[in-house]
Amino acid sequence: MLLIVEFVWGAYRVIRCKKVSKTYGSALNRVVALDQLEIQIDSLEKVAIVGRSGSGKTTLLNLLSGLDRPTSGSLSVNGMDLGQLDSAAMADYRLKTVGVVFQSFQLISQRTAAQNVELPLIIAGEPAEVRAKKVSQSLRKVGLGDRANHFPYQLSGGEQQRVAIARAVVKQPRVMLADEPTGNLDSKTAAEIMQLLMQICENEALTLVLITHDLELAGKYTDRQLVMDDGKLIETKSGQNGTVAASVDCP
Amino acid sequence: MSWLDIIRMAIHNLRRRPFRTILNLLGIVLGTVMVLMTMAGSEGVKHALHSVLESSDFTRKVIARRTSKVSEEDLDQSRWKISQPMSAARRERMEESLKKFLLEEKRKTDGRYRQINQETLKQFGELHNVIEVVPQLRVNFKLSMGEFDQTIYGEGVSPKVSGLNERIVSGEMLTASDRNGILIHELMAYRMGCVTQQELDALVGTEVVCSFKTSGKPNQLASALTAIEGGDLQKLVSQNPLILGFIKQLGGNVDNLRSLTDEQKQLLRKSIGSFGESDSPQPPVVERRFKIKGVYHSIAEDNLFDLFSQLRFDSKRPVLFHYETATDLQVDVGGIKEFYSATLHVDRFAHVKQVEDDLGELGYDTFSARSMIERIDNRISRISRVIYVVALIILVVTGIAISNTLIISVMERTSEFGIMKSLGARDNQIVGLMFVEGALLGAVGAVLATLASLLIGMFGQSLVRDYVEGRVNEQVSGEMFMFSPWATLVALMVSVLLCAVASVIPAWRAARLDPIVAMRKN
Ligand SMILES: Nc1ncnc2c1ncn2[C@@H]1O[C@H](COP(=O)(O)OP(=O)(O)OP(=O)(O)O)[C@@H](O)[C@H]1O
Ligand SMILES: [Mg+2]
Repeated sequence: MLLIVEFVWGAYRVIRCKKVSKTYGSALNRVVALDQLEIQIDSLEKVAIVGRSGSGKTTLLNLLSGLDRPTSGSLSVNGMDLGQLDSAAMADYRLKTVGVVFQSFQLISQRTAAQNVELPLIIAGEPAEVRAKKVSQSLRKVGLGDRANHFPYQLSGGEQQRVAIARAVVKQPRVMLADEPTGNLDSKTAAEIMQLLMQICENEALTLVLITHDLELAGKYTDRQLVMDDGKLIETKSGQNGTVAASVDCP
Repeated sequence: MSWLDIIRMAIHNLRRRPFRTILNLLGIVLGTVMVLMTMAGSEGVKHALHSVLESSDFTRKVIARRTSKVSEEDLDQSRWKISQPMSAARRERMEESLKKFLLEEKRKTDGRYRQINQETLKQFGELHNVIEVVPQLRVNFKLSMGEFDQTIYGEGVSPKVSGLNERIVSGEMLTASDRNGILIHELMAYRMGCVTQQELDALVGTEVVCSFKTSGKPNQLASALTAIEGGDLQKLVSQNPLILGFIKQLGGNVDNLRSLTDEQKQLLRKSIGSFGESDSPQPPVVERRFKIKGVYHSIAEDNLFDLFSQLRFDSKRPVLFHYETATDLQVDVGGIKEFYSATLHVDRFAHVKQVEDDLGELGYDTFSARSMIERIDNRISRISRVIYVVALIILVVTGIAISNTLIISVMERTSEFGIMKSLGARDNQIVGLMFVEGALLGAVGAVLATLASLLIGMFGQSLVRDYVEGRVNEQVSGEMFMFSPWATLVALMVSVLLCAVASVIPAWRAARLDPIVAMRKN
């Protein structure tokens, strides 16, 4: 009975941070990036994390994307306790559960758009025909059906970020994580990318955790905004078009 | 991640960095070509030399000598141990000499001394794979033809296996049944006044007279005397004119004949008295008539077969008889029933060892070109071993260089591995990818090296052939580079393995990168 409750709850609460701390360095130059952080994010929710530089946003996202582990506390995503996973299981988690979009796109310059999108499918060991189909679908979803064979240097920043989104989405993850995906783009392109991201999360039924500096964008597109400072959650704004507390100054 | 995908990705990665890939390939190809060419070259040259050697008659001859091998029971060490104080080196030398001396003595005294006579020649002929047995003869005689008159040596040859057929300048080779023909050396013919080819041709068919000076030996006399034990020397002399010739040469000095007993000396003195000085006949000379069948030449100097000078005919023995004729002359006219050695002609070089072993078992010492050929083989393999070491060093250095460029490549691809890991690639997938890249490089290099080696082999063939032919002064046939499939396979495996191993360390580094740090490099 308890198990069923847990299961349903887990499906509902996709992300749960309980007293998550992350410290860098040793005794002398110790940096507390996350300090007993408590966050809960529900399924299909779109959440923005805002806060000034150095407040620990990226650190949190790295933990969520399975690239790093918390120093203490428990962090569970989609029912998996990330602290307990071994490195192979962690790789599996990165492969199947989360799709990550980075500020600097992180495309492999030696591979074309299609080949970049294909990479997670290759890693997953999917057969070539399936891969080809999924890749072209994915590229079409981001509006790059005709740029499949272009290399990253042949694409604009916005287009590169679209490729990155296609690559994140092609894995059919449960959670989409984006660390300032529009940080390197002009405001018009940024809006386009933001729209695309929202649309995709809606269509693919993804939970979104978005880090951004752009308060306007955050308020415009997300359901909830979590404000962080000094590794702690200091404020939560609910509802779309909600405004962020003026006390938080962002560069 | 399936292996096919890993290979495909590895190929992709190699192709996207052509310059680095080509440089690495160059190193691998160089090393592997060295190894392959060394193997193929030493094998080919060995074969070529063998085919030259084995095609010649020299290498199919085994000379049996009249000595005995020493058996284990002869080796009673106590007999030659020296106990007096002296330096170890000197003791060793002394004991060695003493041992030789004692064994020689033993051989002579205990009847294990092997001699070669007509009986043993027959025995040799019955050995496996022996075609013909020719005893070594030296027949001393005077050859006269018209004004020409000279004392020379003759030698017996077998028309079947002499190897002289290609060395006939004029006339023809002796036939198997030809007991009355002789061959003469071209220098001999020149001395006889035949300079031009016409004169040589005219010489063929001419009859010559060979006068064999008969001679006896004290021990033969002794055995003859023993045979008639107190008998009639007159009768003996009438049976064998040689004895008389010998007695005449001796004069009255019977005392010098140490091999005779006093009784025999007595008998001899008495008998000599019965031959008057006046009616004593001239030392007997046996005359035989032969027909010159052909003129032959020696092999050109500076030839590979010079190595086997023991096995050839030359101007020192300028007249060649059919060996059976020569044997008859030696036994009947010369009264010599033992031969210093005999040449056994074996059907194939491969059987020479077995014939030598058989002879050894019978108690004879042997000599053949086999040891020479084995020494040549040894030298070739020793040289190739040196080249192998050099080639291996090149391969290892290449491996280190590959490792180095792969480390650099890992560094420049740091972000790529970071991205792959962030997308869910496991450590062992990254290691596998790098490993396959290395192995692929090795495999492609190995295939290229094989092709390059075959090409070099094709074009280098004549160069090496010219060199070898220049050295041995003989036509050399066959491939100069022999690529044995197994050896080639092993060389290729080594190349692939080396590259794969060289990529393990960089692969390990790549896999252990922290993806966050790695991606920051982008
Ligand atoms: N690898 C690291 N080693 C040491 N300190 C680190 C490391 N990564 C982050 N930090 C520190 O942790 C704190 C939080 O950094 P984080 O990158 O999470 O901030 P952020 O909110 O993403 O900032 P920004 O908005 O500038 O990206 C900062 O003080 C930073 O200096
Ligand atoms: Mg950040």
